[in-house]
Amino acid sequence: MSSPLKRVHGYLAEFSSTQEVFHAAEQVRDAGYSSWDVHSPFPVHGMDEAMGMPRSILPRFVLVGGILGLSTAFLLQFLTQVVIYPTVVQAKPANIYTIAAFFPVMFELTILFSAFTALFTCLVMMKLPRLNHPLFNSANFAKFSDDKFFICIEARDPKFSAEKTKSFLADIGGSRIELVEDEL
Amino acid sequence: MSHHISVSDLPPEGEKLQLTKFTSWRSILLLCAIAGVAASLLLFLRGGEAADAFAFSYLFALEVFFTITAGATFWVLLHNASNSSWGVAIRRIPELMTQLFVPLLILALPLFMPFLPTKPSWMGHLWEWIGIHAQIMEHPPLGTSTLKEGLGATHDTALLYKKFPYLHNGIGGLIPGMDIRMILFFGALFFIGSKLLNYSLSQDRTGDVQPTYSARRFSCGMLPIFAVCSTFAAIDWVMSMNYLWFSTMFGVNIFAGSALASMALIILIVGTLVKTGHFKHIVTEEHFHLMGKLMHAFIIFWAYIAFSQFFLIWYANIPEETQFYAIRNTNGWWYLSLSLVFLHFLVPFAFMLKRDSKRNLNAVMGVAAFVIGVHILELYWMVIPERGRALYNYSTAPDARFLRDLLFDALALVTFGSVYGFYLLRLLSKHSLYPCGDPRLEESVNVVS
Repeated sequence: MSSPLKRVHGYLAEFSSTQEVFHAAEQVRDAGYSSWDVHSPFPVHGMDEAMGMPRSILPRFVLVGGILGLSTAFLLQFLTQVVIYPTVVQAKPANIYTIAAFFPVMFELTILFSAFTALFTCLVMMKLPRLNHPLFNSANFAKFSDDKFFICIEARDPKFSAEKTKSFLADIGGSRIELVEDEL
Repeated sequence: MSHHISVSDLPPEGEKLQLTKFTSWRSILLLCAIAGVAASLLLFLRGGEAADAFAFSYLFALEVFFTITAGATFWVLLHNASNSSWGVAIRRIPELMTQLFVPLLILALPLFMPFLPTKPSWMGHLWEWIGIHAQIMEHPPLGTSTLKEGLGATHDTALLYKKFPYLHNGIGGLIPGMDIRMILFFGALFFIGSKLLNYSLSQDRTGDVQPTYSARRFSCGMLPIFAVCSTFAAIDWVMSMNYLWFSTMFGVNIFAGSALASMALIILIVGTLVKTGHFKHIVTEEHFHLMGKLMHAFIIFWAYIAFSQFFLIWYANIPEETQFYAIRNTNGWWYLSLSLVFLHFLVPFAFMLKRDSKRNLNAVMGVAAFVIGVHILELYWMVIPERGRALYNYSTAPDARFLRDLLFDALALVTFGSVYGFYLLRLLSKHSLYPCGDPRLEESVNVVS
């Protein structure tokens, strides 16, 4: 049962080549929009700059994750093998100089924690997983995974205007511009 | 986004080095080179104990610059074999660096004395087995007529008898001797470098596409040859200083430092050229970002290899394997071993993590200079501890000879460095600084990392 109420999600414009969508993105960026996105079947080199996106803050989280993994591995081994129950193997010392034996695990956990932090922080930042997205209401949008490129300027953007945004998208070369509505 | 540069914007005949900006450098290097070579020759000609001690310094300095040059060969090979386009703009620098095998070979001659039947005394100390060979040849055990039989006659030299097919000098045997192999290694690496440089230079004149394909095919075939030469050079010159010791990791260990230091020197040279007003529109911060990434990767690779070697030997605890680290992890050497962990890995690794330290010219050049410094330190740590084992009694405290040997190390390093620098400056001024006829130059100057 869908409710009769609908909310405007934004304007969706179709582009047929990488060059077109790339230059269109530069113009949307220069026009000062902030809530908008480009959809393409494959990664487009340099699109970050064309969209004016700032550097992601993800690396900082990964750094923290890596340091956390490194210290977890060190403490896990040092506390159990040296402090709580000194384990003498092949007459090797059971003190801080045993650290060489800990390196492989320290290395592994650094990688593991960094990778997990990267993956899960990335998912959180992208608000994934989610069940549906308003853009899927557009039948035309399915081609974003085939051979078409899309720019969607969302209605929550402060510069959004029902008339001007539509004509703006047409000016920068978009075709089949449609108003995408979200069923509430 | 920066403006797209097309090939028609670039001068068609390439760019020459503005030698006038380096005249003072050139005269200083020439002066140091002449003085250093004269002093080294004098020390070797005088012979005696000082020459024995100096030979260790000399091998250390040779190894520093040999590894850097071999690394340059590797980068050219890899760039061609992997069909890369990003580095076309900077490729001429490593291509020219491969030509430095010629002065290095000439400088290395007093250390190896190829085709000389009786080797000078410093070779007998530098490589212990050569000394034992000389003793056996001088006083052959009763009933033996050849060197190999003499080695097999006593229990003390049984290991050298077993290793004789590889560890010997001269032409005899299935495998050529160590002094001949040294010429083969230099020859093969120089041949690879020259061939690739010639492909590139012929493109400068014609702009033809064919040399790119030829260089790619040639590089794929030559990569194994490079690996063999670089590995066995490390085994012959450094590992066999103590013929009892062996490590299957050692060739890779030397190679890791070699590719790293070489990339650092390439960054330093390109950075200096950019700072003196060369490479306009050719080299951008994107190139430094890419080269910085490679340097960062090889900092990690070095740590991985160096640690693997240490770890396996430390864990297995077999006496003939541990002796290498037994010397280097005791007494004063311990501090050097420990500092390598921090200086060669942790500090540059942590600093290079940040994106800006790869893109900022001053930062990346600073790291590059630092990396070359620790590469020198690493090879010092590999070669020089053997001097105490070979020439001095372990138990004696540092005495006057310690200071003299330090001066010897500095002298050898300055000699090799100034010859290397002078010759490099000459090479740079001969040809265009970038391959101006390469069909992928346009792609390279507009590269986005």
